[in-house]
Amino acid sequence: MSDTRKRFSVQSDNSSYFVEGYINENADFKKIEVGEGKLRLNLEQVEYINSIGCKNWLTMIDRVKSMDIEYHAVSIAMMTAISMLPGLLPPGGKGAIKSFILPYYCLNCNQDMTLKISPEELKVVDGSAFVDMHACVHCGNPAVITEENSEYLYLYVEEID
Amino acid sequence: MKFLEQQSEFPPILFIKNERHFKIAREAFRKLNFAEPIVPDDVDQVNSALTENPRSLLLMDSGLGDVYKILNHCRGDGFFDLRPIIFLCEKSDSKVMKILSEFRLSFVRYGEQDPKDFVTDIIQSFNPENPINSLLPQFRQIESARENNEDTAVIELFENLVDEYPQNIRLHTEMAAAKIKMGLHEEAESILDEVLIVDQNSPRVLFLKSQCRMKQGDRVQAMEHLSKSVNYCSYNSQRCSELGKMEIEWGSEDKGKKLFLHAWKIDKKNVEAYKGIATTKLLEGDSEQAIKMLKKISSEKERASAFNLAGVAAVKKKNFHLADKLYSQATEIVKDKKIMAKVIYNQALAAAKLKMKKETTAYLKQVLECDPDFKKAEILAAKLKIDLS
Repeated sequence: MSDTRKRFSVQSDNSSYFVEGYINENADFKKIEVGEGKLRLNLEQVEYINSIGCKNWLTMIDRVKSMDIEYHAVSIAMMTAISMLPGLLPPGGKGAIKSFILPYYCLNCNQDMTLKISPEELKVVDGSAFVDMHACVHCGNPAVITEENSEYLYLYVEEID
Repeated sequence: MKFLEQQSEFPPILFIKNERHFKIAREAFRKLNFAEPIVPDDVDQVNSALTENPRSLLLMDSGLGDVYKILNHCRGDGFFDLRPIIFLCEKSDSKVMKILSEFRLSFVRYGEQDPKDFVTDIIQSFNPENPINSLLPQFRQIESARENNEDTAVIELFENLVDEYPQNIRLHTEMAAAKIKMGLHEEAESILDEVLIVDQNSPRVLFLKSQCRMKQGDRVQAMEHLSKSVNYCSYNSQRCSELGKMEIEWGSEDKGKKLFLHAWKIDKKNVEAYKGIATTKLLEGDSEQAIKMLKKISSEKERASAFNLAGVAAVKKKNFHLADKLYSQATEIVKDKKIMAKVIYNQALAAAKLKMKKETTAYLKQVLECDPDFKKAEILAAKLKIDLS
């Protein structure tokens, strides 16, 4: 068995599905069942997605599209993929992304960290998207976003414009 | 822990208003065998204690305005204050973040504090192995080079740091500040432009950018950036008075006056703000009060500059008669010949605008009597076809 197969999993609790690891040819989404109401997908632990993974993802979305799908804590890898291929979003489009992960850097302790951000926290000024400073999780000092011009923020700029 | 033993002889400075936090802090100091803390009553006392005890830990929880004043005092003319500083803040919001981003603090903690975390934070603020202190040795080198006026060494040290930590925009910003101190405004501005892409709202970056624009003679952009800086953080007295001066020069007396009054309210030691208030009095025609105020300023140059600024504002509003009067008043309080030459030159300019050729000629002659090397007087005379021989 390859490493990448080991690194994919779908876990669920009562309210959400947690997709983790590499989404590639080995990604199997059959655990995600069609039901009624909301389908919450937590994507915080998605580390990688390739073209075949995208195909598998689209197949899964097509299967559950009758549900009200929400993406939560979308990881950097997944956000980057979505910005390149907006079709990875469910029928709700951008509105389906309830929160996503942004990389931050602390000005004080020089440590990288990630913070979960909601789209409402984005501010678009003159065609650029910005997020307020947040406190470093280690020392509480201001931390700045390191992906200010990243593709996934650009996705929001385009959509808001 | 050796790093704590060394610290025990330096009394910590405790400026805590929250009673519970005060008790916890005192208990923590006792546990750690620290010296009896200094407990100042107000910001001025804190600042005096900081100056007298440069290695003492500072623990504070005051309002943002006071905290800004204290941190600004800590930095002084330098780039970083190297002492451990812990700030206990009621809650985190974007304004707090924005204002604190100018400074180096060991820890910022929000909300109610746990006694255990308190002790840990104090220990960690001194721990050389903690990431918050990872750049301390380099900062010490920078500050030592700065104190010895080794400007080139300061820049080199910053460049090395920036190479090592390219993501740290605070290092880029302080490197730009160092370049501005050296007069390398163009180099500084290109660094600041890069920083502004990542953080377009940093009050310090906007202030430094404004200084660069001013150096290039671009008053419009300079004012725009300084206005933004003051909008994001109105706690910096120096920036408020600088903006006030720009507003006055621009002919906006009301805005200028408000800014000077605000700057004076924040910092009663800000001579520029005090002078600015006197300037607005001059423009309002209250010369008696203005002169009374200006007499309290010891520097003759400073006193004259208030009249000069009022004169510039009067010229801007095409009120040349007022300008002429203000410059005349300035000459009455100035004794230094070189300063006198500048003031009378401005008076000559106002007279020239009033087409008072006789007076202009007399003024320009006086300028050259005061300072024979004042070339601008000869150039103006040539332009106006005035014979000064």
